Amino acid sequence: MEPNQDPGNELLHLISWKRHEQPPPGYFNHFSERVIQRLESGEASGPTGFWQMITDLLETKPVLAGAYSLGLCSMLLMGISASQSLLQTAGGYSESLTYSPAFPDLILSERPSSRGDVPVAYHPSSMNPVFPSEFLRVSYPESPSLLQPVQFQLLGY
Amino acid sequence: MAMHTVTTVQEKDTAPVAEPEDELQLVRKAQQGDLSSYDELVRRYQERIYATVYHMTANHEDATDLAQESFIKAFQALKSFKGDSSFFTWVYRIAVNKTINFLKQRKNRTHLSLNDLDLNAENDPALVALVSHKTPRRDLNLVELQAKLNEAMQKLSDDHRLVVTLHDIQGLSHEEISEIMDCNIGTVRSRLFYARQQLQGYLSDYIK
Repeated sequence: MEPNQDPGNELLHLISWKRHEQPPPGYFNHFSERVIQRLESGEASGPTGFWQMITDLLETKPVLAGAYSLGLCSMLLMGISASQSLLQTAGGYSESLTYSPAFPDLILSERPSSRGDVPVAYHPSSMNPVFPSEFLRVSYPESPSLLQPVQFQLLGY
Repeated sequence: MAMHTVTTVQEKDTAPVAEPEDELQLVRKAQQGDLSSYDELVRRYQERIYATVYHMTANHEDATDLAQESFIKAFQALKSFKGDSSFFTWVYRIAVNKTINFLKQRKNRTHLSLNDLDLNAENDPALVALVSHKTPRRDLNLVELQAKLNEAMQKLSDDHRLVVTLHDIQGLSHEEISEIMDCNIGTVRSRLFYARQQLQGYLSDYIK
């Protein structure tokens, strides 16, 4: 069946029957009045300036709305690809750097241990600056009393 | 010759009411803020704009709101109207876009609120014959058939329903529809063909 082929008079007649569906009598007598009243009450002002021009254009020209959304998608894709290339560049740069920690790793086995403790590596950092008591006892067995253990106690508790 | 009769009625219904110059003059005055000129423009196209929105939504209350908002929106955007197309086509485009956006938000929450049939419906011999001879249930009355027809229309996609509404109900030409829908004439014809084909399937119990 070709697009121009007659689909059947009965179907067209049935569809055209919808023209007989009419709003209540007198409905259009006041229709324009209501529109004008709404305009006079300030609905005509709406958004002004640049945004009004944009929304009006998008509403009356769907092609522009499509072009606008296409532009946004393109910008998004360009942003993603640009960020990925930046990450790759930054990754190469970081691999070329040598790691130098703020504190050298303290390997307990480098110090003599009179009690024969199993050496334990301790990594102090800005996030964990407090030396554990085990570390003090093993690292400084000759003068543990010189180092005051850390205690946190609030007054009145 | 039923088709010929339909076409004649459509042409009569959609014939321009005023000369283009007259309309353009009204538009120019309305662009200067003359509400009485805009009132005249609204009066000229209110019935066709309302009918288009009504046939798209199948809901009288929604059609009332959308038709009024379309005219308000058109007035707000009137300064951007350059006269490249007729005011009639331009305001139609606004109403159609507003309706399509509304239907997208409404999605499948269709609530029929149908208008009454006018007296001419019951006096249309072709339709009376159709109801009495073609329907499987002889007791099916006009109102029931109206509901079936609207339900079938609502099953169409928005674009297909719009083409059927503008062409087969409103009687607009393919060229006018392509301008309103911002697509080429081939697309209009194709959509019309598939929409009719679907309607024929949905209403197969009521037509040959």
